[in-house]
Amino acid sequence: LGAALGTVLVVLGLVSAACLWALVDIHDRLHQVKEEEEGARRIVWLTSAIRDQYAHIAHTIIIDNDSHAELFRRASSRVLELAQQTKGTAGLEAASAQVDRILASSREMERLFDEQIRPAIRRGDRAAAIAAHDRVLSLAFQSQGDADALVAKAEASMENLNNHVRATQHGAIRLTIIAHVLGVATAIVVGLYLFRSIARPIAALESAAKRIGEGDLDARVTIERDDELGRLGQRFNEMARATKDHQAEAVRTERLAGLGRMAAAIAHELNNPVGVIMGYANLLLRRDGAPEREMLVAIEEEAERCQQVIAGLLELTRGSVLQVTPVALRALVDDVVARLRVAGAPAGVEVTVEGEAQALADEPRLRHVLTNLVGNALEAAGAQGRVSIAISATEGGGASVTVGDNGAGVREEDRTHIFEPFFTRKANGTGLGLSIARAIARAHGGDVDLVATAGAGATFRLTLPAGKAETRS
Amino acid sequence: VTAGGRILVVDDKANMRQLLRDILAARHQVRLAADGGEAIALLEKEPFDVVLTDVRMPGMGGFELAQIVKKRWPETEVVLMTAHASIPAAVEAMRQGAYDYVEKPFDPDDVSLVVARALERGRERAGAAAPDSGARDAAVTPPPRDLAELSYREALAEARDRGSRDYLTALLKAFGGNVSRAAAKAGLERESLHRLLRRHGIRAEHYRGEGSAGD
Repeated sequence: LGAALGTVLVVLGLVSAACLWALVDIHDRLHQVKEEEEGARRIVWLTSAIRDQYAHIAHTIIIDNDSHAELFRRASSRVLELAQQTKGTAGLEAASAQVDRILASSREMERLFDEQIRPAIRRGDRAAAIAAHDRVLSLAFQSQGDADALVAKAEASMENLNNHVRATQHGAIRLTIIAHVLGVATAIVVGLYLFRSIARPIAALESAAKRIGEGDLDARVTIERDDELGRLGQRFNEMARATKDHQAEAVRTERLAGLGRMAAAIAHELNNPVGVIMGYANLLLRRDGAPEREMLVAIEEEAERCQQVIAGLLELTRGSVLQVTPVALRALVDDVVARLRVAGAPAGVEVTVEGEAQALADEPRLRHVLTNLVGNALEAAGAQGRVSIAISATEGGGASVTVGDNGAGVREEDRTHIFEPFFTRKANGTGLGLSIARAIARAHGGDVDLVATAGAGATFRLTLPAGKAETRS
Repeated sequence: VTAGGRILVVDDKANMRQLLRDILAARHQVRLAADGGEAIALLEKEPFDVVLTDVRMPGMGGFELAQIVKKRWPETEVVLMTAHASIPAAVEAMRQGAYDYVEKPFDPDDVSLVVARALERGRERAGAAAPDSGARDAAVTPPPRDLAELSYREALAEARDRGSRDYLTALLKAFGGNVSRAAAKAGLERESLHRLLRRHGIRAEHYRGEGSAGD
C-alpha cells in the first residue's frame, strides 16, 4: 500500500509539473502571438503610410501645385520609422528583405517626387509628371504587395501559434482532470485506510471504555496489531483486568472489615457478661463444699473458652495501633519459654534457643505471637519431644524467629487453612492463635509463615522488618 | 492487723459490680458506684483506700475519674479495669498517677492481688510520710517506683506482672515461705495465693526459713 501510495504521489507530482510547464508554454506562445500581432499591425500601418506617400504625389499632380510637399515628407518619414520598427520586431527577421524592398521603393518614390514630379509641376510639364507618376504607382503597388505578403505571413505564424496554444491547453486540461481524479481517488483510499487503521480501533476502545464506565469490568478490546494502537489495546485490557482485580480485592477487604467490625462489637458486648459468668463460677468453686462441683467446673471451662474466643477476636480486630519499643528478642523468647514451662509444658520436652537480635515491636503483642508459636510447638512436640528456636537479624535491620518442632507436622490439605480464623485440629483450640499471630506480625509490617514441614514436625517463621522508632498507627 | 481496706468499685454493669463486691467483700469494705459522678459523690462523703473503676462508662469514663481522684484525693490509689485493646491507654493513665490496671475479663485472684498491692502501696506511702507508724510493714515489698517517671515499656512491665511477681516474692520472703500467713497479710485467700504463686512460677519452698517478719 505504501509503494502504491508513493507511485500515485509521484504520478501526481509529474502531472502537476506537466501542467505547470504547459501553462508556462501557453504564456510564452501568447506573448509571441501578441508580438506578431504588433508586427502585423505595424505592417498594416506601413502599407497605409506608403499609400499616403502615393496619395500626396497624386494630389500634387492633380492640384498642380507644391502644397502637399510637406505632407509627403511626413508620410515618408513615417514609412522609414515603421519599416525600421518592423525590422526590429521578433519573428519578422525573415521578412527583412521585403521590408528593405519597401524602404527602397519608398526612397525611390521620394526621389521621383523631388527630382521629377515637383520640378515638372513647377515647370508646368504635366506630361513629365504623369510619366513619373506611373513609375510611382508601380512602386506603390509593389510595396502594397510586399506588405500584404508580410501580413499574410504574420497571420499564418499567429494561426500556427494559436493552434499550438490550443493543443497545449487541451493537454493541460486533460492533465488537470487526471490530477483531480487521481487526487480524489487517493484521498478516498487514504481516508478509508485511516478510518480502518485509526478510527475503528479508537471506536472499539471508546465503546469498551464506556462499558467499563458503566460497570462492566469484563469489557475487552481486540486490536490485533503490532503498533502503538495494538499496544494501547493491550494496556487497556491489562488495565481493565487490574481494575477488576482491585475492585474484587476492595470488595473483599471491605466485607472482611465489616465482618471484623461486627466481630469486634459482638466480642466487646460479650466480654462483660462472660466475665461475670466466669467470675461467679470461679468464686463458687473456691467455696469449701461447693455443691454440684462438676457442673460449676463445666460452666467455668466453657465460659473460659468463650472468653478465649472473645479475647482472640478482640486481638484479631484490634487494628494496627502499635506501641513500638526496642525489644531484645532473646530475652523475650527465653521468658516466653520459661512461662510456658511453668504453665505446664509437656514433660521432658527439650527446648533449644539460639541466636539474638533486636527488633522494634509492640512488646506485649510480640510476646503474644511468640507465646502462640512456641506454645503450639511444645504441644506438637509432646512429651520427650524437641523444640528448636533460632533468632537472627535479617538484612536491612529486621529480625526473624524460627520455631521448629519434631511433632506430627501440618497435614498437606491444612497448609492453606492454618492461618484462617477458627480453623483448628485441636480438641480444645479456638482456631484463632495463628491468625492472630499473623495479624500482629503483619500489623508490624512482618509476617508469620509455615516455612517447612518436611517429614516429622513443622517450622514456623516470624519475620519483623526494620521498622521505625515512632509509634505507628 | 487487718489487711482489709475501703474499696470503691465503679462499673456501669450491675452484675459486674456485684461480682467485684462478692470477690472483695470477704476481706474489704466495699462500696459500689454506677458511674464517675456517683463515685465522686461517695468519695466526698467518706475516705477510700482504693478506687477500682471500669474504663468505659457512659458519662464520666474511668480515665477522667482517675485524674480527678488523684488530684483531689492523692492518697487514694486508683486501679483501672480495661479491655485488652485499651491497655496502652491504661498504661498511660498509670504514668499519670493511676496505680495499676486489671484486664477484663479477669481472674478473681488477680483482682484480689492487685487490690492487695494497691493497699500495700498506700500504706507504704503513709508510712513514709509518718515514719513512726507502719515502719514495720515497710520491709514487705520493694520500694515503690514512681510510675510517672517510667517509660511506657517500664510502666507496662511493672503493670503486667513484674509488680505482682516482686510483691509475691517479697511477701513470701517476709513470712519465710509460710503461705497461710503471707495470704493473711495480703488479704488473700490461702488458695488464691497458691494459684497466683503457681501462675507466676514461684515456689514457696524456696523462701522457707529466709525471713522472719511476723505479727
